[in-house]
Amino acid sequence: MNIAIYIPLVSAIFVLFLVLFIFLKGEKSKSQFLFLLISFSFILWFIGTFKMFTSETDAEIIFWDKINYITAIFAPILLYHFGLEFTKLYTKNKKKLLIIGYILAVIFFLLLRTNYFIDDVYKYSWGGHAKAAIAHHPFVLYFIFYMCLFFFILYENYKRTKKDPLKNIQVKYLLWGFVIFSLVASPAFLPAYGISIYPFEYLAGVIFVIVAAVGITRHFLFGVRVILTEFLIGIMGLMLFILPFLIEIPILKTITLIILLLFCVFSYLLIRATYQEIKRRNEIEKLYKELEKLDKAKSEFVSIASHQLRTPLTAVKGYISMMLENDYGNPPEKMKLPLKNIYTSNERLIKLVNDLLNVSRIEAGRLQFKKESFSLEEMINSIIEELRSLAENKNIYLKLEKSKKVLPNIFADKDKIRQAIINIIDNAIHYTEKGGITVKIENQGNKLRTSITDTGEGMTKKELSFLFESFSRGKAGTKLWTEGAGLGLYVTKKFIELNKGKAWAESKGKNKGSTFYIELPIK
Amino acid sequence: MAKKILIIEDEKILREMYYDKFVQAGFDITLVGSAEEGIKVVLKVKPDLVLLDILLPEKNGISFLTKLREKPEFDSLPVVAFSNFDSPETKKAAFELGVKDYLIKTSFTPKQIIEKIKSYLK
Repeated sequence: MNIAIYIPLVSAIFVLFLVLFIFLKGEKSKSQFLFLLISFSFILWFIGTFKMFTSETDAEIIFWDKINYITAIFAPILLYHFGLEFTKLYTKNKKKLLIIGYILAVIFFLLLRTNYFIDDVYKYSWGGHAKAAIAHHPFVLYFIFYMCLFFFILYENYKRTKKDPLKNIQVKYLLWGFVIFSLVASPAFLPAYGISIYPFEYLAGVIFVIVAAVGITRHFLFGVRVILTEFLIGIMGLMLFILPFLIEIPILKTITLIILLLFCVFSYLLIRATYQEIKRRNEIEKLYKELEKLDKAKSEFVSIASHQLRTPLTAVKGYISMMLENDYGNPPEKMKLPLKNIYTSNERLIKLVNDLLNVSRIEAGRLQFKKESFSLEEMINSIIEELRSLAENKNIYLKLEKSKKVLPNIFADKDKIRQAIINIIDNAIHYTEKGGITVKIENQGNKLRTSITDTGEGMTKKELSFLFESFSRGKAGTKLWTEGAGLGLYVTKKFIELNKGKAWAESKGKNKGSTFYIELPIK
Repeated sequence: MAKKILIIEDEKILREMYYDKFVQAGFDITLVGSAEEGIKVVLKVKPDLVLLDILLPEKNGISFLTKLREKPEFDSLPVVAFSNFDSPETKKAAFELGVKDYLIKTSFTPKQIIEKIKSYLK
């Protein structure tokens, strides 16, 4: 007897295993239930085909072929239904087609019991097949129509899921798996019309199993991930189980039995561990996503809140500046200082909001850099010009000690470096009551070191240690807050570091002044 | 003749403030509060420059710019964006639609904005 005849039977057993695993371990959903039904109908078909080809009498052939036709009648509408459920691409018309399809399937199923569907037997070199009768013709049309609809849905979904790689690859597997399967399985109708052809349906079973197995193990179709582990364990267990029956030496028999027992225990532990690990990984993934969402919400909140804060600050800044520019008449002399103070306070608030925005951007990793080549010396010169009036108001000096040699350009984000240096000099002015501030730039070979030395308050070691921290670093922030340094230095340090530079401060102690250093690479 | 400036700004207080300063500086000012209105008025007034807020009710400043640039007679009309909203993406989109500058409102007094605008009108 031809051994190939057994292929459908082997396929049936494979699919049965597959179905059991999916049913026991996967997530329970309607699409999975439909997939189960489809798989069972295929098992029926594989067994029917096997029995049909091994039948002796015509009556047997017709009986088993009728069993096969149950699959052929229900598979297209079940596939279509599965496709809709899997993709959720329901529309009113698609639902109507679904109901019509089920009604047609039931009608064909009822006709199958009469002689109007198949009648008589066609014998050819590979066996026998029932001959098509009158009701078989509309059935073929129904079959082709619903298979096309099914493929159309999968194709539609394939296009739709292009942005989601995991879903997309799942749909690709389903699409190609079923296309190849149908192409191979469909010629099974031909003998019904008296066309003799090699029974390809043998192969169809194998293809179905391979596609499903690859899809499930490699791409987690239906969320099943441990099938491979369990499958291997299953095969090894089966072999170990058979072994004692084959061995006749009692000692070896006992040993294999003990091994089998141990194997069972270890397999159980292994499978349990695998499940736990998968569960943990899923939980971590979920937590991580949650965290990401929270983090995003936080920075979005800060960004929007900062924007909302800026509007009234703009109005205060604008109106006070216009009052000081005498746009609303000359303010009384007595009022000028208070106006200036309001303006300065408001500027501090604006700076605070800017810093907050910058901090939220730094922490969300959303800063964008535009690097260019520029002269650091020129930039510091213009900053000093800009801040000179602030120093003059406090009767302190602010000067740049010219470098003797020509300094090379640096390559960095100009705006961010500018903000960083302004922050430090502005800070130095704020904390210096007599004396002044000296800025120096030194060429250190591959980097430029800028030092900003003031004769101001100075700092203790403890103060130095948390000087560049942000408010989010616990206690340090609140302390700095009351002293007014705020977030500026944290932003400064980050800006410098993100340009591959270094920023730090030194001080000999209280009332001994301090020096801030910024180092930036030349290239 | 006084230069015509169209200011698109939805905050009433800021609108009034800029209006005061710009009129004093001798500009001919038209104020509107939304992007849709802005498009209508641009056709009628034919300003020399538009000062455009970015966050506006319903349609934002970027959509105003897109609509404006679709009209051939306005494809080179100078527009200065000014907003307190400074996401890098929005900034990039505005520059791609040909704004002269993207000013953060809190960083400038009205006087400084006027100086900027004068430089773009030259």
